[in-house]
Amino acid sequence: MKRRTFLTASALSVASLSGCLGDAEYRITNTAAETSLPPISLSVDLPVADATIEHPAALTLTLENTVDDPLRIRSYGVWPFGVLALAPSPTPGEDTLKPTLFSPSYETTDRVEVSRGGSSLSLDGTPITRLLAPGERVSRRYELRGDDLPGSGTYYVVQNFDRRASRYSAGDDWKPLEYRIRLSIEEKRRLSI
Amino acid sequence: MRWSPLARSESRTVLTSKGAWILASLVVLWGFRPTYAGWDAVGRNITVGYIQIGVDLFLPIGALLVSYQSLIGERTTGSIKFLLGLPLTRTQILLGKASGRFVGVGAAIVAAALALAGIGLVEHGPFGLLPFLGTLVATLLLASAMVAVGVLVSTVTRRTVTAATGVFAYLLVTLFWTQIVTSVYTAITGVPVDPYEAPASGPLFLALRLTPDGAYNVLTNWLLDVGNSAELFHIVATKLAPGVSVNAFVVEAAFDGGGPWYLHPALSVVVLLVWVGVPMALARRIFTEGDAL
Repeated sequence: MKRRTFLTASALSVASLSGCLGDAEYRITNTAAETSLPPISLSVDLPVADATIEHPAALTLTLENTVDDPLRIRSYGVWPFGVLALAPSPTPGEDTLKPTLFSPSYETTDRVEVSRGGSSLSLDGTPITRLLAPGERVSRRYELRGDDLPGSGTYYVVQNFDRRASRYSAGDDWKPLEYRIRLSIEEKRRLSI
Repeated sequence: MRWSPLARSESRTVLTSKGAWILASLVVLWGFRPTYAGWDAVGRNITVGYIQIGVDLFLPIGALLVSYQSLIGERTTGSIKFLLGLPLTRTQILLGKASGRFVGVGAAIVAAALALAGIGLVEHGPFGLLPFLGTLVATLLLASAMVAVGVLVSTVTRRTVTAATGVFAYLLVTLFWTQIVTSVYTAITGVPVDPYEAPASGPLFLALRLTPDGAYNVLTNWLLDVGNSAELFHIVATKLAPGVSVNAFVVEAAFDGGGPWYLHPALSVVVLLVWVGVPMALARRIFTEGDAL
């Protein structure tokens, strides 16, 4: 092989293979939010789509009271969404591995403690109940670290603990805050050469 | 210097060989490894960490492979007679051979480091110039140590196969250095060594950093400010992270207050210089006093 051919082939192979030995990084390519609750509207924004080694991906969940009466929302840990995780199905089993979503709001309270990777998690059992006034919107940021994800695919935002799910009430009855947020996540290539 | 033409010829031999550029390519390919642990440990200086990762594995092998034939090759082809006929002393021949090979290996490894720096700059943005330059100097120091070992092997052996076996034996010993050191330590002291909870023993930690690659890692970890250890930088940072247990020997994890003075990372420069000086001195002694043919 001629030296120039060899050097060109080496450079190209290095360029194409570089980064393959590193950790997987991800990109949230699509989000969809559905809610079946008439008094409540839920939307999801994606301020940071990429979960790379430099930074986590970020989702902003917004809850809005769409009726004329105030609503009470009861949550555990942080209000109003609670401690969230990702799961491969909207109704995961108890044994399903669920990467925990981190929220800056966890840092503002001692009601929830989540270790890196979600391997250790403690949640205060005392509920937090607050009013959501008519037309009021409340937004919370949640972050997803790439090294917590087991792989690419479709994931759903779920409550980390089923028995600590957020609920709402317009009167005396407490109903589960039911919604479905679907994320399509793809593995991201490091070098775009 | 009368031996500089010989050094130029040697460096040209290395730089026009595929081996040097395969080495550079492998350093880049193996080194560029974006990891969450690495970023958490040093942020944008992960680019400097890439150099450590690539160099730690491939520079010792590559430098030995391109330098162990420096003299044995001349012997087996008979061209050493021509070399000895030049108006150079044997010490000058050895110096020319070693410095020429070092320049060749050094140029290839600097090219690899610059390539990694360029990739890191594009991918992660600017990084610390001081850790980068320090790591570059440490890398050249390691390259010179490995070339010195290669030249020594080439001087003491009479057959290429023996030299190759010597190189392989060296690589095996350094590969299993941790296991060798811990086994010997346990045999002498009777204290079992658990790498998850290493005993606070100065001699044990000192022995672990006596290989050229171990000293190089200690030095570059110091430049990256991750901790005092012969392991790779992201492993050191993981070991020192709260609530994480990793089988790595890290001074800060084993000793309260930083350990004895002789474990200071700066002393790894001395270890590397010894690895340059002692093999060269031995090679000179053998080459000048023995039968060069």
